[in-house]
Amino acid sequence: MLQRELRKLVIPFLGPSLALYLVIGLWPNLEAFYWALTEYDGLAPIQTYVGLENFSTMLADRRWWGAVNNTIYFAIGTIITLLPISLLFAILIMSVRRGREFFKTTIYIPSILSVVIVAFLWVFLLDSTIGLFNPALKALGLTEPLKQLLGVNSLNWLGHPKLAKPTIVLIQLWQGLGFYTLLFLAGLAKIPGELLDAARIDGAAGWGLFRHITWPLLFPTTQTVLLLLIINGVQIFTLVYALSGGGISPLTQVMATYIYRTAFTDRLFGYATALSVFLMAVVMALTIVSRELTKREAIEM
Amino acid sequence: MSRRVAQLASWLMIAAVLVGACAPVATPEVVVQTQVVKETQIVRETQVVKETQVVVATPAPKKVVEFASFWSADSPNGREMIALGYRLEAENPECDFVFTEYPGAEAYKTVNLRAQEGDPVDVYSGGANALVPGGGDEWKAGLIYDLAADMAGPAYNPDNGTWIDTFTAGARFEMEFDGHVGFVPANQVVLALFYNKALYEQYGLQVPRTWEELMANSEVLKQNDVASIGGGGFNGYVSYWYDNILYRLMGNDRMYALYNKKDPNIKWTDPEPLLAAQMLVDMIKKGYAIDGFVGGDFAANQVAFFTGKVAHLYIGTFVMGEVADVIPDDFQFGVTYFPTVTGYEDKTPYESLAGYTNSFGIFNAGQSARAEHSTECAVKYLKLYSDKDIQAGLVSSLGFLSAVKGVPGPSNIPGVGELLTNQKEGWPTNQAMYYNLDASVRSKMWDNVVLLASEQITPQEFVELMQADYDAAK
Repeated sequence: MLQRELRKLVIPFLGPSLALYLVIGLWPNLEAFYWALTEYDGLAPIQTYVGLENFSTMLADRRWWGAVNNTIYFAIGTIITLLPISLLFAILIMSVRRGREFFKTTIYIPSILSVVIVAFLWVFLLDSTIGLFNPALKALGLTEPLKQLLGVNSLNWLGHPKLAKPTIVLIQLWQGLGFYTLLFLAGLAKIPGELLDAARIDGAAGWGLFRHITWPLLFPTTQTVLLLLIINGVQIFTLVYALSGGGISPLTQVMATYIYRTAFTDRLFGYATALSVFLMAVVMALTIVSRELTKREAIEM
Repeated sequence: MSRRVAQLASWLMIAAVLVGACAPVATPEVVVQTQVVKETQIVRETQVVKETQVVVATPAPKKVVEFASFWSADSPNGREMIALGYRLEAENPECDFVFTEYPGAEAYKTVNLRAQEGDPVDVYSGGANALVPGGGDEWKAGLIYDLAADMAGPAYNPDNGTWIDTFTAGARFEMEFDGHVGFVPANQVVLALFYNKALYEQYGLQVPRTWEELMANSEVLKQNDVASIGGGGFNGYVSYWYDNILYRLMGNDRMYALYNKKDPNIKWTDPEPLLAAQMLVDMIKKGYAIDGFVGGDFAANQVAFFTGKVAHLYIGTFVMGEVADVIPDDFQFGVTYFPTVTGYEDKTPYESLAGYTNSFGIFNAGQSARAEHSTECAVKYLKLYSDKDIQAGLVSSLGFLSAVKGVPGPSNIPGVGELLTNQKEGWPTNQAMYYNLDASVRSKMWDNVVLLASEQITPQEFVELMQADYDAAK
């Protein structure tokens, strides 16, 4: 009876939100497919239908593919650094008996900060002229060994072609570590203690315990973390944009910043929308693939 | 008895006669009252008609000058423009000044849409990019008022000659084309080579007039562990240096033709664009340019300049406003023109400044405007704005660089006034150099220069990339 009464409230409560979503969420997304087939400067009322021309332009646009390469670099770089290191930190924090909350808080602090603030902070820390980082390296006598090791003439961390991308990956690691560590901590906390105790009684310990018990049981969390890293990696915008103050060079240009520039600086809204449609397809494909892969593993467990 | 009866009867008859005589008087009284009422009604109707006529006659014959402001009304610039509007109204009672805000760099597009719909504002601020030499889209669409005839007339103060003669050479270079005048300058921003006088004195350096002298100074500074050229780094701003070197090598007309795809015989693969690329890379390879960062507007390099870590900055006069609060009190500014190249001195006068002019354009009156606008009043407003004395006051309060001749530069940029006074040629910065091509050409050039400066591509590859991008440009 109560259920039936509650059901009557579904439409009045859900309706406005659904309508809003349709108008400002779904409709623009659908309209983007049409815009992608037009030439449009975003302001003048003229929108010329050009068929698939924008997509053929995309295929021949070497700057776009440079941005795609950089995006893949950042996505993979973030996954292979953030995923294992945040898992390691979660396990380390779980293993300590005292000060667990302190470590949790400390590691999470960078995640509280706005991405823009993080970017500005690192720009001025790493600046080769007035930053604090290079003088610190010099004081420690590490400048020349580092130059030799990295094969560069100057330690221009965010400007040198060889250093800019790895530096951005490390900044992402610094900022995201706390958030992803907390996700793994939550996953670890959900593993029943009896299972671990039973495994220990059966003689499992250390790496064996982790490999056969903890890791398989963490798969749902890993799946979530991986999914978030992929989506955030492919859609990376704010950090790169803020680190370069808007004047992004092709050395660090990513898909999202290139789309932004194409639309709002070059005023090629039709072409930019075609690039966005491509980006959306990539994100969807990667999401589906990653879900399928991790689902299979979870079932096996 | 009968006699008494007869007397009474007589009296009665007399009374009756008297009463009868009075009765006709009473009837005329009623008529008179009726007439009075009628007259009163007529009077009331007349009053109503008079009141109505007073209302209809109220509006004064004023004409609107709508000023679409880049600045908000409560900003220093906004307040000054409104104050000038009051002065316009006081001096020209027929003009009605209306201030509307269209803030932000992109707002001119919105203003343009109003013009396209036939309801334009009269004066628009900040639209230099829409009014570039040769005419932007708005000019070509016939939306912009041609000021040529007004400019040939007297300035606000007739003692200052014709209106056009009051502006600097650099400003006129952008304002005039093919006998037309597209806008009135709001102010000028010029790019000049700033140098640290204290460092120059410390190392016994002379102010460089040629590229070779600048490189020689840079070598001395490098030997003393001082970075010579600030504002480098691998971001698009490094193209300011490329533009200048190329300008010195090619001269204004040829560079214009190259940048705007005006002459098929002038190509990026010609000797000068290649030589400019080689000179830029050579400067960086020798370690004369500072290790910058991929950052907006090279703020860190500005700090490095003002703290004596770098000796030169090639930058716009806006730098003083941007970092005014952090400039040390004892900092000694030097400012000079960008050096010429030995063997190419005849291509450009040494006294040349790159820059851009912020502008006020006037839209032609629209066909569907909701109020009666006046181009005449708009012209009067801009004449008032560009008066020499008023400009001096504005420079003093707002700190900009005036485009009117003889107006001193802002007090916090010593020497820049002399630079402007001696200026022989002005040319626009790269924002305005691609006026007849699509906007992506500029983005592509910045990308290519970054690749060149960061040694990802060779000078030869750079010019080939530029040529390919220009071939593809619409």
